[in-house]
Amino acid sequence: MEFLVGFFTLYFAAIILMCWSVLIKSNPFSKAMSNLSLGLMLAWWLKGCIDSLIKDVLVPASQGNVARLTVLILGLLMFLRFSKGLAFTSKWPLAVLAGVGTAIATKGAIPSMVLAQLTVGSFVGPNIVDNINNIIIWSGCVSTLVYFIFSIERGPVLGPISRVGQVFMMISFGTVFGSLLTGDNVMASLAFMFGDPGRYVAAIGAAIFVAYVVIDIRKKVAPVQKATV
Amino acid sequence: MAQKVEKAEKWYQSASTQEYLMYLSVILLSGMLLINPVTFPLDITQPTIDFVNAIRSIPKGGLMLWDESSFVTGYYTQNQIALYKLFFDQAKQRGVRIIFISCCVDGPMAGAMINKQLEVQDTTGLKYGVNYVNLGWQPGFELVLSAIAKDIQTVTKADAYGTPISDIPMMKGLRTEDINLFAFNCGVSCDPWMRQWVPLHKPILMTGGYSLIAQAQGYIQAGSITAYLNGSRGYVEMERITGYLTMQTSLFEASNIMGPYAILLVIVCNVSHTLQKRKKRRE
Amino acid sequence: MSFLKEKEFAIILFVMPLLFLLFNYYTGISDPAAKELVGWGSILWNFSMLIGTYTMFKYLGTNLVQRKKDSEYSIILFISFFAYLACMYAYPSGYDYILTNLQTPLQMGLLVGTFTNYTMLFRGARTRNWLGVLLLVSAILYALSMIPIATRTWVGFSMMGTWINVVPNAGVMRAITIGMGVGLVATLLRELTGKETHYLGG
Repeated sequence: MEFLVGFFTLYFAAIILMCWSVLIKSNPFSKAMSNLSLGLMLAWWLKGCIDSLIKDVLVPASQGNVARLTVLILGLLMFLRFSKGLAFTSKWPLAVLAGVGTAIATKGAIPSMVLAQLTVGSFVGPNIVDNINNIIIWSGCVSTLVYFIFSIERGPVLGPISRVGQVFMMISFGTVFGSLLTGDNVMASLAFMFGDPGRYVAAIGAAIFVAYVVIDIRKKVAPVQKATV
Repeated sequence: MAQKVEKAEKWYQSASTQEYLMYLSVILLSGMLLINPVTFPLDITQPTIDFVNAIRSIPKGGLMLWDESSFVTGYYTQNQIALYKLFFDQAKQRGVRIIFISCCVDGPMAGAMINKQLEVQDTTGLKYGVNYVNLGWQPGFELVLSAIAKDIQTVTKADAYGTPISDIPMMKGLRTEDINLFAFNCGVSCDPWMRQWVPLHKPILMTGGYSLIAQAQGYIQAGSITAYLNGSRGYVEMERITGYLTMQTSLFEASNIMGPYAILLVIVCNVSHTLQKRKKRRE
Repeated sequence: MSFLKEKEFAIILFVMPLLFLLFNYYTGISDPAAKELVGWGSILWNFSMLIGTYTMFKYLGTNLVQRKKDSEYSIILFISFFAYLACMYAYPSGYDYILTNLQTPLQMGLLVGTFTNYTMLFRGARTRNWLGVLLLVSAILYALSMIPIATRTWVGFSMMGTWINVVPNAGVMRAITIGMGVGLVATLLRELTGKETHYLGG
């Protein structure tokens, strides 16, 4: 039984290596793995959707729930998009879905995305560092908003303010970019590569990789001299 | 007649060779640390302390909701398991009840991860349906978040295992207003959660990557997000506070080399670009 | 009947639930109907996923029949899809086996983003002006604040990185969030007046 556990880790590492082989060149292994992954994820999605439809639509509808019966009919109308004569009916459920989604997104937008963001700390509090920080936050916010106003010409007032906004945005996007520099996302996969017995697969993979690189280098390095007389 | 001599391209000048060397060095550097881990002392930051305290401050017998979005990596590095352990400790010590759900926009995998994470938890003294419930993955993303905010009873008719909600003791008569704390794990921008949950005026906790936390600073400053775990470091700090050390802690040590390596790449890129520009100008 | 085929009828079907939900949100009237309508949204979302899956399979199947380039790999997709779906319903231990031993390494292996990040850093992180330098300096300081060895080397890295995240970054993110919120409301108004009909497929 322990041997079986080791075996699973062996091809666990092999699957990871096959996925990573795309970094060198697209090859049959990486294509097979990406299609396999897609097939498994699609199966997951479909199961989730089917289960949800059964418990939330079919069961209540079969018990006489009129609302769920109505939404079942609406949902089935979506499939009429494949019919030439009745394709227009498939837009109705999409319109309902879009209306519900828009309402849900918009109703929460004003309190959380607008009003809550307009609160600003004190500029004249007891702690001078906090005051300065609040002024900087406020300046960054206003100048960034000014930067995104494109309907008014940038004159002697708006121009410098939007320039300040650019400076703030560069600093801000630096924090987003900085998350790429920490570099700890691949560790979990590597833990299997360096564990036992994944390291044997990793060693074979490394040998194949080094051989490929050496052959690749030899092909790319041009002949030493070509003389034309 | 003049001889035309073509210079040989050096092996290290090829773009693909440079990339292969980079990949190899990433693997070797990380491998070095995985084989011989070096532990550096880690300062615990205030946001992580606030996060753990917020969970420990849920009233006795109170209720929290956790929205899961992590995939397999969180399970295999065990950082999510450590987080769940923190929740279940509150359940055991103070009778806090937990609702697990996943609205993950990336699919039902997150729901499967809830199942797997619950399987490895020590639930001695706790009963499913009384102390905690798993509602599984619900399709619709923001629609589900809105349903949670409106009325938790309307989110689904049955839990992740097919038990009707009406048969689950914990869910009987439960209203959204009874939930004391909302927490979520975020793989995309946190705006949908903020739009739906901020109007509830309840504490909201967030965990997510460094860039997502950076993007959420507006909400954090506005007080909409009570506390957060900042990326891998946040999880590792949480593990230090709670004492549940997992593989994530040892894997995080690799950032001590990988981070400076990435910074070095940026510097080398810019220096070589500047030198090439100067060389072209001289020519 | 001809009116049912018009775009305006679909716009009415869009506007009515939208206004009803907003009305309920601000007045609290008709709560049960509003909750049901929100549930309808999730259910219709499910149906759209079914349509998407069918459309994708139709496309891949057509490619396979026409023997287009790389279409033979779709066979792996179809086999894995049906096998996994069957296991989920009929063979739970098979499902668990595939989840643990196939899907897990695939999910982890397909995270090649870290390697491509390094390629991007080496090739693309070039600055052409002082704003770019500012971005890189901010990125480096923020990254150093997250790395234990850096914060132990000099405590200033932690302070500077945290300050960058909490002060200038917060200001910008507030502005962007406000812009998004205002944009959402503006889009709502355009959709209510029928100027935006993207949900009808163009």
